[in-house]
Amino acid sequence: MDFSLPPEYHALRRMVRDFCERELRPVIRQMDHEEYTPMDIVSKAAAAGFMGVPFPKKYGGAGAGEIGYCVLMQELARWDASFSTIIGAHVGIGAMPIYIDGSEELKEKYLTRLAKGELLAAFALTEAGAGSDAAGIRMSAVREGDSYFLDGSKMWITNGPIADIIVVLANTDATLGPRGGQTCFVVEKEWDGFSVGAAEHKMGLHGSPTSVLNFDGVRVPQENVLGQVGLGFVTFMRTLDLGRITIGAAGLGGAERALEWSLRWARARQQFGQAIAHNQSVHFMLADMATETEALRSLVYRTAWMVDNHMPFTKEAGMCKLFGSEVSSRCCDRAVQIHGALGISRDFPGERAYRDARISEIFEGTNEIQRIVIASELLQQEGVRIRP
Amino acid sequence: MDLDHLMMMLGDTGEVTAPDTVQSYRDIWVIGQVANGDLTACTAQLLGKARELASDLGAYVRAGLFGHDLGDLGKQLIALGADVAHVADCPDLADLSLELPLHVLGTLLEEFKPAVILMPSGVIGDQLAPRLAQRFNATLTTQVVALRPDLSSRAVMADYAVYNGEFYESRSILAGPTFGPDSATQMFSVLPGAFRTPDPDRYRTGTVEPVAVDPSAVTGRVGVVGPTPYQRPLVAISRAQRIVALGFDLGEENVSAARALAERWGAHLAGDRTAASAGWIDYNQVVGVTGYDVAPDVYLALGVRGNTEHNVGMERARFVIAIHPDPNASIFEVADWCIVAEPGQILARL
Amino acid sequence: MRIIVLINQILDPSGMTVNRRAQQVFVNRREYILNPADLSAVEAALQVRDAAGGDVTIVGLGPERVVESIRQALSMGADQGLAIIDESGAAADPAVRARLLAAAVRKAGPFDLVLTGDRVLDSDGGQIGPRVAELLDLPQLISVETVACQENRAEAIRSTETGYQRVEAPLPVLATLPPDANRPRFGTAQRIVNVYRDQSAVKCLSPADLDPTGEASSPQTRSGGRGYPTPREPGTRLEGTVEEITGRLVTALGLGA
Repeated sequence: MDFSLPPEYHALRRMVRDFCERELRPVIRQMDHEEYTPMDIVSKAAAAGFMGVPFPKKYGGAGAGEIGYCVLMQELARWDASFSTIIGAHVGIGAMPIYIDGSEELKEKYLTRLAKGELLAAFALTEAGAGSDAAGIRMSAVREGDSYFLDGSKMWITNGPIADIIVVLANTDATLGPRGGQTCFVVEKEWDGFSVGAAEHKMGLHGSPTSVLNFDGVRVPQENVLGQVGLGFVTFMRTLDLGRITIGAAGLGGAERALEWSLRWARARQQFGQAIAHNQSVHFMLADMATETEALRSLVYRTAWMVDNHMPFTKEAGMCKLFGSEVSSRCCDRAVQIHGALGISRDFPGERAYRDARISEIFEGTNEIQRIVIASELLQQEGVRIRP
Repeated sequence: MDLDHLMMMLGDTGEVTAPDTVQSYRDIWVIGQVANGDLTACTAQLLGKARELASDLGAYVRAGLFGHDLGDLGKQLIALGADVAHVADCPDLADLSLELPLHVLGTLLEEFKPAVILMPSGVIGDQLAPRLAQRFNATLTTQVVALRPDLSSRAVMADYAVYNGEFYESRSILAGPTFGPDSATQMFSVLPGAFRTPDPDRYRTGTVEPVAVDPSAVTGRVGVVGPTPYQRPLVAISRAQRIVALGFDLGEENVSAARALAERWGAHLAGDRTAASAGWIDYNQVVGVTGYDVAPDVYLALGVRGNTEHNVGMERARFVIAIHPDPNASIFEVADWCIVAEPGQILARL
Repeated sequence: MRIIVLINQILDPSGMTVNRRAQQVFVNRREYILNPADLSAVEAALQVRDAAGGDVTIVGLGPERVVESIRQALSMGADQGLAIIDESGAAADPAVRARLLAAAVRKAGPFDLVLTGDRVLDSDGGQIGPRVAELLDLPQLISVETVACQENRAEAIRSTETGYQRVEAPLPVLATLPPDANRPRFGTAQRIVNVYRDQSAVKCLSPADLDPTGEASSPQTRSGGRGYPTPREPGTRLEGTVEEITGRLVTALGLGA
């Protein structure tokens, strides 16, 4: 049994860390306070090859697999969850479906450019009336000749305002529902009828733009059908399975950082004539943070290893998302508590991390859905089938 | 044991004359450096140390000096502790381009076979010394902060600074003794301030010997084109070597003076959270929990009160000077130099 | 333009704490990094190559782990890597180090420019540049901020007491750079993976390959023992008139004249 990462991942981690320290760090405060998306830093990240980390070399990627992708997300999230979300939404759920189920033509046309960061992608599933219940989507795709016409609108789309292409799920046959009636399309932002709606003002992730996307009779050529007609839902679910692992990795980065802040402050802050590190109540918080962080690390990297070794991972991916988001939230909460009044200052990075962490329990499948996923995987072995 | 040593042991301090043929490595040499027409403080410190070593090990002290318009600096070398001063005065030695001084020193080395050479760090100690050492198969230790005689082997041991002086390592020679025929020169390039500056003794006697310089003996390969404007890329505050930090108690009216000081001193401007709230610095210049960790050589805190959230970010600074009007300000708990005063008063006179 | 960069690997100082009072160095995180001044040299080499064409060879000397730092330089875009693996520690002696590196440079073939850092953080290795220049009979440009090559000359900018100065020398030449002289580029994710998965990316030699008689690799000096600066004594109050205090400050900060 070998728990060490091969040296290339250490080198990748060091490079990402240097990048964050030098390029990202100076703009983090502005991103949070002004809801600013630093497109110049996104371009620099693309130049450093971040956008292609998990994809094979033949598509312009680095070939670092899911493990490499987790290293990337963990390090980015250590510094700023907004930035890791921009990259994650692009790589993990924007470009990933094209890699998983796209035709060679689509891969050549889009994936190569996505992996190099020449194009940015978004993933559009959620609608006003459909979130966890993906079957309830209303967006329609009507076939006319060799094209489909898309009508409807998507909500809460991460990267919506900055994406060049959008991977979108629409009903091709509403009567069949998600099993056979939903299809996945690749839409370019310049196409007629596509428009970006108002940007959301969120509790956290201020640097990561989120918006409504409107599709008003957008004509999509049939080559841009991603995967098979009618099987789009499956593509989306497989994409989300993979994406969930990196939510865990990002949570790991955030949790680790919260622990580092807390340790330092506990050592330095004097109350009642001694450092607060001498208080048992603080010990308990630190110990819990460290224990959960280590457990999360093992879970995330083992699951990534399962992916890279072609093992089934749906249940474990759900656990990564569930546990990762909760650990990250809990650790940030404790960090705020340990820092006392400073903990709620908007000058303190832990305050931002606390707000940023909250969404992880919601997006890419709420934690309630994750529990259903995990439970249904478990019960399936007992012959019980659960329909969400 | 060579003759010089014996004579020293017997208390003979007679006149020194250069022998016709030198077989043995002997004498402790100091290569002096001139700045603004005077010997540098480091040169004086080296001569003082050379005297100490010479009396422990039994040796004479010779000084070498090169440059142009050196005046009576040779005599000063004697007053500071040299028994003989070899002075090479030549217009071609005015700028410290490498090849000619290297040639001049090399000739001296060949002729006199010094047992030990001390040089000040800087152009001489960092650029000339290694080439010289390599050419004459001498050992060289740079960044030296301490020198100790090893009486049993008649050699010199050195401590040199590593990690910018965070700690020291020792180096000793494997072959020995340093003095004698079967040896090699031991060279040391010493950091300024490593030793005490001796008081000159104007009544000391010694000889000043001019060194003939033949500029045509070497052809310089490195040429100076001329002065040029250049702006070094800005280093991140976390790697800055000098920092001027502002705190709220500096007072608005002194901010521009503090900025000017930072610029003149070549320092990064920083501050605590209060300075950023006041708009005197950018939030990316804040030191501490809400900003950056810094580790400069010198951290000058002007009106910084020193809350934990600030102090924790500068605990790796090597030297902290704090100016604050309140004698109980917590910045003084982490400062090396504590100045209880209005920062504005001090700033106005800097 | 053939460029050779000599690199050193050091223990990351940000992972250690020096306790002067306890006279001990505590290593909290044992990670080895490319010496910061050598990193400047690698970036300068890549800039010269990008402007003038040619290739960059990285030469490192040290225990097996030095290969990691060579790989880092390769992931930034250097073309070849050559490691001299010395587990004996003999190369801690500056003369041995310089002789082995000079031999490696010769072995690497004809060259126009040799670059390295002007100091090594964990030793007094600043002498390596001039020593190698002497061994290869090269003109040296020490502690220069930038290097550029035109035709058969190298031009550099160096800092002097009176400002920056432009200097030049005919190729081949050796130049050294200080830390933070430039902003080293990031390696790309793709190159990192390529370089680390390619077992033959770095060619490894032993000192015996360069110095069969062992003469060059026998050290003249020995390093041993650590010393520590006097522990800091925070809280020294500077007393006196404002003029006296200011006077001490001016001297301490070097603000005179």
